[in-house]
Amino acid sequence: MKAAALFAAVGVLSALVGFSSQKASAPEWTVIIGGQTDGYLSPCGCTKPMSGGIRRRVSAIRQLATGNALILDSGGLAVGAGPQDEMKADALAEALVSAKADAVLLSGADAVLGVANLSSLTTRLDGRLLSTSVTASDRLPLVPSVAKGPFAVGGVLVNPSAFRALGETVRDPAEAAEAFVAELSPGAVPVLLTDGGKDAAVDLAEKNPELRLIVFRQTGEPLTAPIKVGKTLLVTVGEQGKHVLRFKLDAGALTEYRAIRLGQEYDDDPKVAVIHQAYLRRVADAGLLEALPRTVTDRYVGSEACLPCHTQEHAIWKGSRHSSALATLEADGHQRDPDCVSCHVVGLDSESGFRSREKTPTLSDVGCESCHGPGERHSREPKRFPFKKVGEDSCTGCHRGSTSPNFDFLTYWKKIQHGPVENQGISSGHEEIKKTR
Amino acid sequence: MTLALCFLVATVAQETPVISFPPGVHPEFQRVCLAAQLALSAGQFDKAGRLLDRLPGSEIQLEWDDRNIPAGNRPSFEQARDEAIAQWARFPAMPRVLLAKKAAIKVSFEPKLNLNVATGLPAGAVSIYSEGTTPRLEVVIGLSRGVPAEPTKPTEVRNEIIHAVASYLGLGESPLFGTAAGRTDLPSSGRVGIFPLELDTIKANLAIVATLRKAVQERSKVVAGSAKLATDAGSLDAGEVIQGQPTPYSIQITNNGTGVLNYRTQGDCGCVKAVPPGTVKPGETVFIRPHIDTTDFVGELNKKLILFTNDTEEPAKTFPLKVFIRPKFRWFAPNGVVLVLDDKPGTAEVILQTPLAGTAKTEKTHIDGIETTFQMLPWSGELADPEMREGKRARTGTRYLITIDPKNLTGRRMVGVSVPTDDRSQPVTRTTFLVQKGIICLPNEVFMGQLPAGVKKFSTLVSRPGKPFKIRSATADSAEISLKFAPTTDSARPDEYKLEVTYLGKAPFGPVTGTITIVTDDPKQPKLLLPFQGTAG
Repeated sequence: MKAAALFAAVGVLSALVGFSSQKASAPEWTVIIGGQTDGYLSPCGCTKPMSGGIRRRVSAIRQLATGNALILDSGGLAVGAGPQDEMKADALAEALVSAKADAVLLSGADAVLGVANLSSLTTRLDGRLLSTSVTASDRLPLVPSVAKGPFAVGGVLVNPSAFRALGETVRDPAEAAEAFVAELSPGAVPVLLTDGGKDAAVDLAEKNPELRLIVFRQTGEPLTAPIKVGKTLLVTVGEQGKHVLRFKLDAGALTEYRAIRLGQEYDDDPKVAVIHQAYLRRVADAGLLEALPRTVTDRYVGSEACLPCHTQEHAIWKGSRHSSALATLEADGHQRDPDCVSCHVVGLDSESGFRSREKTPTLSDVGCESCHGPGERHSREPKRFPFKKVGEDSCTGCHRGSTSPNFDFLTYWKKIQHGPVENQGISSGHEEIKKTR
Repeated sequence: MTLALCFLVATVAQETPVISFPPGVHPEFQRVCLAAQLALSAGQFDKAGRLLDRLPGSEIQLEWDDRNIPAGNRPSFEQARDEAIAQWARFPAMPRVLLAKKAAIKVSFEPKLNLNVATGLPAGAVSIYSEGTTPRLEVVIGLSRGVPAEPTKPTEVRNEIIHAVASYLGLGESPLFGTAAGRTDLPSSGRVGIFPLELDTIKANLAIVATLRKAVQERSKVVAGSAKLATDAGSLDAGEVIQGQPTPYSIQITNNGTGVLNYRTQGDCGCVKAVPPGTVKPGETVFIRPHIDTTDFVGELNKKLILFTNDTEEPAKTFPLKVFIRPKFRWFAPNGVVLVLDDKPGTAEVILQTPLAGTAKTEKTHIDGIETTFQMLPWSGELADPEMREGKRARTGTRYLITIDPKNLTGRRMVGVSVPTDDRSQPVTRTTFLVQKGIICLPNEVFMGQLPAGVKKFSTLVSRPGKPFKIRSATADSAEISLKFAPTTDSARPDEYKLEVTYLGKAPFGPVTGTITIVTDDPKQPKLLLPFQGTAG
C-alpha cells in the first residue's frame, strides 16, 4: 500500500508529460490579481511573520505567470496625502511595471494624491492606469478598458465624488459599468475591477450579467471560494496587498481559484528589491523622519538613566530584543522610514524624543520609556513621581495585527517579565489575563 | 498547570482514566490512540501494545536516506537536518531526536514530486504513514520545487524535517506557515519555528500516550470518545460601532459527540481578541464571546476567527467577523485640501466635528509647517462623508479659519493642525492641508528610479491654478533626457502644462542626475528649476 502511494505521489513524470501534451493545443491563460495595497509597500522587517509587500508579490506573480497571463492590480495606490505617500505610489507603479501588470485600477481613494501626482503616475504606469469611470484627458490619460487575449478589463469607481471635486469628468458606477459592457467584443471574457465593497459588487453583477469576474475591495483576507451571482464570480484580494489571487481560464470559464498568502515563503523579487531600496533611500534623503510633527511632553531620558536603581530590570531589558529594536530596521534599510521607526525607538512624537542614533543614542531602540512614558521627573524624584504601571495596552500599540501577527500577551510578556514580583501583573490588563486563563 | 494535564481527567472511576485529545491534534495520531483504547476495552492488551508502538516515546529515531541527494548538496542538507534536530532539542519536554537505521521516521529524496492537488504546485514533500511496519512515517522531499522548478534549498530541508517530527508527535497540519505544523510547497527561504501552542498540543499528546501505555502495562481500561462540533453561526456581523468600542460577538458551541470537545481560538489579526481555551462535555453547550479591538480602524472591517477543536472532521472552523467602525475624531475640508495664494494672504478652512466619544482639547490646538494666524469658531451645518457612507447630514464642531501670509512662502508646503485629546489610544487628532504660491512643478522632482536599457517616460505638471502663464522653454543639463511640454488647459490662456521627460535609454551604468530649467513669461518667476534623478543599469 505504501509503495503504491509513493508511486502515485513521486515523480510520475511520464503521465504528467502526456497530460500536458494533450492540453497543449488549447491556449491556456492564467489570471493573477493583486493589489489593494493601501500604502502597505513592505513589512518593516521587524518581525518575520509579517506578510505581504511588493517584493514578495512580484516574486509570486513571476512564479504564477507562466505562459499566457493576465496580471491585474485592484488598486489602492495611496491612503494619504504627503511626500511619503507620493513616493510609495511611485515605487508601487515601478514594481507593477516590472511585474508586467496589464491593468491597475484607479481607486476613489487615490484622488488624495491630487491630479498632478496622478498625472505623473499615468506616465510612469505607461498605459496601465485603468478607469472606465473617470474620463481620460491630456493631463490624466487613463485607459477606459484593457484588452488582452480573450479578456476585456474595466475599472469602476463606486464613489467617484473625490474625482469630481478635483474637476475631472466622472460617470456614475452603473453608467460606467454599462458603458464597459456595451463595448465588449463577442466572446470576450469581461473582468471588472471596482473599489466598491461586496454589496456594490453584487449590485454590479446583478445589473450586468455579462460580467464573468468582479474584483471588489474588502478588509481582512480573501474569500476561501468566490461568491457566485448568476454566472459572475466575485472575489477580493483582501487588505494591504497581502495576497494574490489566481484563476485558470478553461473553455471560457474561470476555474482553479486560489488565494495565495504572501508569507515569508516567498523570497523578495530581486528587481523589485532594487526599486524598494531606491524608495527607502528617497525617503531617507527627503528627511521625512526629521519633518515629523512633534509635541511637547515630559522629557525622555533614556534607559541608561534607569540603570542605577533598576539594575535587574535593566539587565532583562538588555537581554531582550527590545534593546536592539532599531538594528532590526537597520538590517532591512528601514531606519529612516517614518512608517516603521516609531515602534523601534523612544518618543519619536516628542520634542525630547529620538532624533537619530548619533544625536540621541540612549533613545534608540525600544526602551523603558517606550512603555512607561517619559521618565525625567521620575529619575529626579522617584517617590514623588512614581513610574507609570502599564498593561497589555502598552504592548498592542506596536504589537498589532499587521506587524506582530503572532502576538500573545502572556507568551511575549514572559520574554521581558520584570519588576518586583508583587508588582508584576497588577495592572488591569494583567489581571484580566490571569482571570481568563 | 500545563495544558497537557488539563486534557487528562481521571474522574469516571478510580481505575479508569479518561483521555481527551487537544485541539490541533493530528487525525492519524488520534485514530491510533482510539484504536488502542478500543483494544484495551476489549481486553486485547497485546494488540493495544502493538498499536502504541507506532506512537512516539522518549526518543524519536530518524533515518536519513541520502542516496538521491547530489554529492555537492549532501554537506549542506546534513547541516540543515542537524539544525532541525537541534530545534526540537531546545525543548526539554520534547522527545530526543536521534539518527538511526530502520527508524520510526525515514527521510529520503526524489528529483521531482507529483502535483499537490490542494495547492496546484509540485509537492515540496510527501508524508506517508504506514500500518505496523518501519518506518512509521516516510517523508520524501523533492530536490526541486515551485513553478518554474527551483532546486530545493537547505532551509527547506530543515523546515520539512521540523514538520515531519511535528507530524509524528501528533500535530495536525496548520494553515499558518512559519509554525512547526504549517508547511508550504512553495520555494521559500523562511525558517519555521516551534510555537508554544504547538508544544502544548504535543505535551497533551505525549500524556495521552503515557496513559495508554500505563493501561497496557497494568492491563486496565481507558475511556475515550470522539467530539463532534456544532455551532450556531456561520458568520458574525456586529453592525456599527464607534472606534474603540469592542464588537459584541457570540458563538454557541455544542458538543454532539461522545468525548470531551477541546477548543482554542485564534484570530487572523492581533485586533481579534480570541477567547481562552476551553472544553465542552458531550451533550453540553457553551458560549464564547470573542471581540475585535477597533481602536486602530475606521470604516468596514472584515476579519476572521479560527476555532481549533479535536473534532477530526472539523479541526479548524473559520468564522468571518464583520463590523463598520465610525471614527471618534473626524475632520472636513469643505473647500478642498489645497489653498492657492497669490501675493495676498489667504484663508484655509477646516472643521473638526464634535467627537463621537471623548473630548478634543481645542484650546491646545497647534499648527505646524508654516507661520499662520487662526481663529476657532463654533460650527454647525450639513456635510457629507462619503468614505463613511454618510450623505449630507447635520453636524456640529469647531471651525478653524487659518490665515497664511504668502510673504515667506515658495512652492507648495504641507500645513498640519493638531488637537490633543483625552483619548489614550489617540492622544492627538490631526489633519493636513496644502498651501501653494505661484507657478509650481508637481511632482517637484522627476524621480526616475532604476532605469532600464530602453526609452522610459516620466511627467510632471507645471501649474498656477486660475492664473494663466506661458512656458517659453524647457532645457536639461544632461544629454540623457529629452523634454516636451504642452498646455493641458485652454491653449490661449493656459494655467497648466504637462512636461514630458523622456529618458533616452543610453546612459552608462550609474546615476543619471541633473536639473531641468523651465523659463516662463512671469517676471516674478522667470525660471523654475526641476531636479531629476535615476540610476541606469
